[in-house]
Amino acid sequence: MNTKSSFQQWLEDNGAIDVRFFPSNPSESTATELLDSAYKAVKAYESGNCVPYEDPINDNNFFPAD
Amino acid sequence: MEKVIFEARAMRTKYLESCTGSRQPVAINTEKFAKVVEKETGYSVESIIINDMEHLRGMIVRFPEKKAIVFVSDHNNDCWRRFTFIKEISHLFIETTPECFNSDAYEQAKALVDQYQTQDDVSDESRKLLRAEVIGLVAAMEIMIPNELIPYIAHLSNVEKMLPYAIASRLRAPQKFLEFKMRQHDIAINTPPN
Repeated sequence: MNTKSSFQQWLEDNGAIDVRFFPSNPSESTATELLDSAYKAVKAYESGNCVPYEDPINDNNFFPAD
Repeated sequence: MEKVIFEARAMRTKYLESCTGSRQPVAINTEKFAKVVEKETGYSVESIIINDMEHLRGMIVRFPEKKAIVFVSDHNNDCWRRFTFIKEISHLFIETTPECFNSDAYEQAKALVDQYQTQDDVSDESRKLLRAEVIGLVAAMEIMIPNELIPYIAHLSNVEKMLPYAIASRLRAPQKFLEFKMRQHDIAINTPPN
């Protein structure tokens, strides 16, 4: 089973209804490389090899013109 | 794209009402923005940073019963990470009906790379998939670099003579999209002295 079908299989196995990608460099990457990265991401997620997204930005920093 | 911009601005307004007393911050807190999106759309979103995601800045996967996972690559710098997160979250409130959804990963990936790598005419289906990505980018730009910030950006560039990199750092947004906005509004882009 190649990586392309592995990610597609993962989507189907998990009942996914929609997927969107944001490629790092679409002029250089292949479709298979995007899917390979996607598959690595979901496997990392499943194995807990990830951290929650956090944004420490203080949104009380108003610009002077306000 | 007018509808996309309208929706993005409306969601940003809800965020401002909820988090800043409707005042305009130099940089929004993207995590709080996502909470507002969850509240407004009914989605339950898990958002994670992934280390091993070389060819993607980010990705969103949606599941039934309004569940979604947003993946953001650790390879992004802080500005790109925030932009990527907002771009992915934006799909939740802009593409709201099943006919907008796509679960064919290969077609999605192929459409994204083919736009740069093939001279062939793209199919209607590819065009639709690409439009979905552009929608996310347009929405993220509108949310992170709104028109309300334009006078401030113009001041930083024209009066304080700041370079775009420094302005982007202050806004915590990617320089590429800041420069796009500056060109849209005819703001001079300073270049480093020789």
